[in-house]
Amino acid sequence: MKKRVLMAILLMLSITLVFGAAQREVVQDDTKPYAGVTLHVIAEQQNPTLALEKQLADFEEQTGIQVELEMGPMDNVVGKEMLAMESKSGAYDVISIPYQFLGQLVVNDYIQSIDPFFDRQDLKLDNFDKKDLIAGMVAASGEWKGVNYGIPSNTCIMVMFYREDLFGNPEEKAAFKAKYGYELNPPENWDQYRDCAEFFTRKAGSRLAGKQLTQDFYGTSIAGKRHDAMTCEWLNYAWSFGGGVFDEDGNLIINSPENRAALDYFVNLVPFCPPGVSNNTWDELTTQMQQGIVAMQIQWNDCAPSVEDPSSSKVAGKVGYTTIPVKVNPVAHYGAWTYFISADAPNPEAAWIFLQWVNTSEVQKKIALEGGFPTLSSVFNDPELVVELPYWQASLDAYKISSRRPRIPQWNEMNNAMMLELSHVIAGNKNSATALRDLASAYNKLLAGELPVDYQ
Amino acid sequence: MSLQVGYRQRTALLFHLPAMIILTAITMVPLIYNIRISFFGFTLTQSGSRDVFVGLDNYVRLFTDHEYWNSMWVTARFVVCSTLLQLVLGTVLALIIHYYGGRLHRILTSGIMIPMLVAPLVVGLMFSFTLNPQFGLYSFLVDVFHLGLSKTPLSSGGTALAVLILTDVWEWTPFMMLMTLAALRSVPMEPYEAAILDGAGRILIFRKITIPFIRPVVSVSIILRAIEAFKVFDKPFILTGGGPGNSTEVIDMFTYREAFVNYNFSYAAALCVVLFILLLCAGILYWRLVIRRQEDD
Amino acid sequence: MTKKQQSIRNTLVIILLVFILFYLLPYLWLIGTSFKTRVDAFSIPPKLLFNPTTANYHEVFVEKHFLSNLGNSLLVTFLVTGISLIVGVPSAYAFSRFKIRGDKLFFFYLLGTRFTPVIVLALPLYFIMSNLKLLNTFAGIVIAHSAFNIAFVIWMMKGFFDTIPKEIDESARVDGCSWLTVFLQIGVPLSANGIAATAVFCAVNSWNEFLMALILTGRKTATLPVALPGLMTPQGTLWGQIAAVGAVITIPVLIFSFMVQKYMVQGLSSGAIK
Repeated sequence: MKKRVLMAILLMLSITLVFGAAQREVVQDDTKPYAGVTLHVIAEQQNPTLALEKQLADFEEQTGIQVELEMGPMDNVVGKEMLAMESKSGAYDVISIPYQFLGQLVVNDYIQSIDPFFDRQDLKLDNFDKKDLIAGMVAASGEWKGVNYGIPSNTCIMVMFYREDLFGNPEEKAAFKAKYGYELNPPENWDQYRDCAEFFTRKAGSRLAGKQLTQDFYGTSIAGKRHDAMTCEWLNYAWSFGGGVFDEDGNLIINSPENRAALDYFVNLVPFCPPGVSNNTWDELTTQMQQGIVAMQIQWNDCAPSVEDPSSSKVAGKVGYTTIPVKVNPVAHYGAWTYFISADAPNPEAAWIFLQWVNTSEVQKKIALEGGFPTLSSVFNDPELVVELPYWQASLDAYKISSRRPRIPQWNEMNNAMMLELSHVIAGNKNSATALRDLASAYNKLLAGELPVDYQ
Repeated sequence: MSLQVGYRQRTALLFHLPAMIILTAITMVPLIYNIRISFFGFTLTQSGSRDVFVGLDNYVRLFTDHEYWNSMWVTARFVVCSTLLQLVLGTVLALIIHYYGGRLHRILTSGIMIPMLVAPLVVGLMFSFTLNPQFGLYSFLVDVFHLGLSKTPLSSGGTALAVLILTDVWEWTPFMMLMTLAALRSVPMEPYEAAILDGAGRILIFRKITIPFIRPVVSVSIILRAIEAFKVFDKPFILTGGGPGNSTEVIDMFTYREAFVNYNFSYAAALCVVLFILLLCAGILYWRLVIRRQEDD
Repeated sequence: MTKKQQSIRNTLVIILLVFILFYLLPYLWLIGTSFKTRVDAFSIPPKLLFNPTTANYHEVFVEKHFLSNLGNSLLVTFLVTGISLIVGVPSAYAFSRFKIRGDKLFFFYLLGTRFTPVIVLALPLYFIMSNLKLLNTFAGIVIAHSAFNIAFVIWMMKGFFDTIPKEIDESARVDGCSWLTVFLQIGVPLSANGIAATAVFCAVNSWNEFLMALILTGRKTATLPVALPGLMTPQGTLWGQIAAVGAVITIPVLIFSFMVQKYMVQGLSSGAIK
């Protein structure tokens, strides 16, 4: 018995040694004033971050600063960041967090302004060009009441995916014209979108683009799970129909005829979607497109690389991308995570150097080639990318009309309430009028004393 | 004699000390912190709110919160149905293995134990994958065997909760089975032999001898399982997110959303205190009614 | 046993075997998925026959360094089980043998630590660990897990100790042994079954625990349950790799519990009957 225990302890010790962290040596160098500093960064685990991770060795070579990049899925990462900042533990220098948290972060003094850093010549990185940053993006992601706090890390925007091969098929075009009386093209307004969705929804056994279907095919698919994915998608419809959460003066317009119309429209798409919409988040939508069972989707452009990847997608090369259909306004829901420097960062100067480095054209281009989207207009307009990536042009067009969600401190709670009400409507528990009325009363309680919200 | 008593006291204290130190430092401080902030208005939507004293406001708000009562109702149904089904299924399995298992019993037991050892997160993901209406195994089997069941059970409130209960039964029946099996194994042989000599039938033996002997173990397993079932989170979170609507929003998910989505830390703390008191009362009541009474028998 | 009884018995055993196979179907399907390519994994209808590949295992364990997460989990679970037992068993013994003021209160407090949803303790716990400079270290997570396991250990072990007659202690004391000797030479060996059973449940609890591991570990100390959600990206869930991790994550605990199964089944009942 004792011998076994001893063996077990020895085994454990050797495992610890094998898997333990390796020590690294640091060499002092005068041209790298912050050499030897270890920067702690935390960001969401997704392709752009992974692409960044691959380049960290370059950063260390250039500046001598070692970067510890922690990654995880959104909920986990955000939870850890909030805990770290609330307890002022100094655990992270740079945090990446979705941009709607901006108001909450400022109000609680969790982050520090980066304006003073822009002026510091001693910290300026050679190939960082402030003017190359896309002003609209930076403002949306990192500016609060005139003060800059951060620079976008992973941006994305919602566009429409559609099966180019089906829309271009002569047989389908003829049938569509016969049934609806106009040419089959990627839909530009919501009525056309609905017609296309209806047209392409077919049972197994019927014909599609000259071939017989072995399984059911559907016109579209929506995110209907009680999850962020649903509110992100629905806001496109709401804004596009002329509705939304606030009007220009900051009054609450959540219970408006436009929103009710948008919600009814959203729910009425369900018959044209694969069954089980309340299971769907971005993940399921991407998989359905990859498996070739839907014709169109409203999706984030950063899901496009997966759809274009032949090793996991049956429709690689067959998908087209364009901006979302319009009713009253052209819209594209802007999504982004922003890099902020935490208020209790142990190495704010090194953090600033890191932030600049991330936003140099070399780094941004490499990220773009691996599924990310840049913050620099020079990289955005790079002809090589426009040619090589099929979703690039649509993204460019979409960013020009981007619509951002409110970044007020109450938004997270408001988003949560919206998820609940939308889920009720999808489940058939409530109709759109009741749901929006309940949502409005929840919002009024939440924003008591703050209305109208003059700054978002 | 008093020296003896003093020595006993000191030894007892020494034996308890390491446990008390760790527990106080790690569990008591957070609990006290929690109780304290439940009387404040700490939420991340308002700066400086962590120092605003609000007395019983959070508790009052809790009692008028529809969503909270809905979660409690969902969780109560979940716990009761899930525990009962596990009890029945676990007992039946234990009986079959005990009486008819023979030499295969170790393999049978190990096989059934597997679901219990899989991490709850993995169980949630596994069922999420299996229940996917397009490419999941469940949908395929419904077609192949013409079962006539809905292919999207997670899309409607009643069936979503039923699915969750079934996944919990899947994961934790092994626990109940093991406990019951162990109890069956420990029943002494003498009463059996005496009863058989007296000519008693098998069913009578089971009712009068076996059941009373295994009742204490089974009662404790029920309460243990029920407590853990109250804290279920991963499976509903992954499978339904609390939906459709709020039909599967269990209390742990509601608390999580208040604490880490809405960042209403004080409100979540009040929630935790109320839950703690409710469960403690239920636990003490159960102990008094069921376990103590058995000991008297 | 008569022929009729024999055939009833055989039928029941066969039904049971089929039932168990069906019962484990989701898990077996998971293991199957771990050997499929992504296109195969999502084919409609699901593929029962396919070309197996070990790519998922290679990607997740080697390229994504889940092997080091596995090592972290092993280390943490081992230490937690050890510490929980070392700290909890003496305390359980004391509950069984001694009466001191306030011990009933302490005993009920232990009950309370199992009731609280850990989520609300996250903030203060993080704060404590941060102040003790134990964030992202193994020490931090080990101490936290042990603290919440101790209640469990004490309940179970108290029951086992209660089944050992107190007369044995008394005679040893009369012979001049200190309480420590009585505990170590008599109490512990006689309750070895119980200790084995408790060890298994401690190990399983710590191995599968997610929330505390999430907030208290960092990149280098992350355990498997913490690293696993990283495979669920917004661009797509890597089901094949999740399946691979899911398959492997059960193996160590399965081995451990198979080894002590002999003791565990006997042990469980002694612990529970008060």
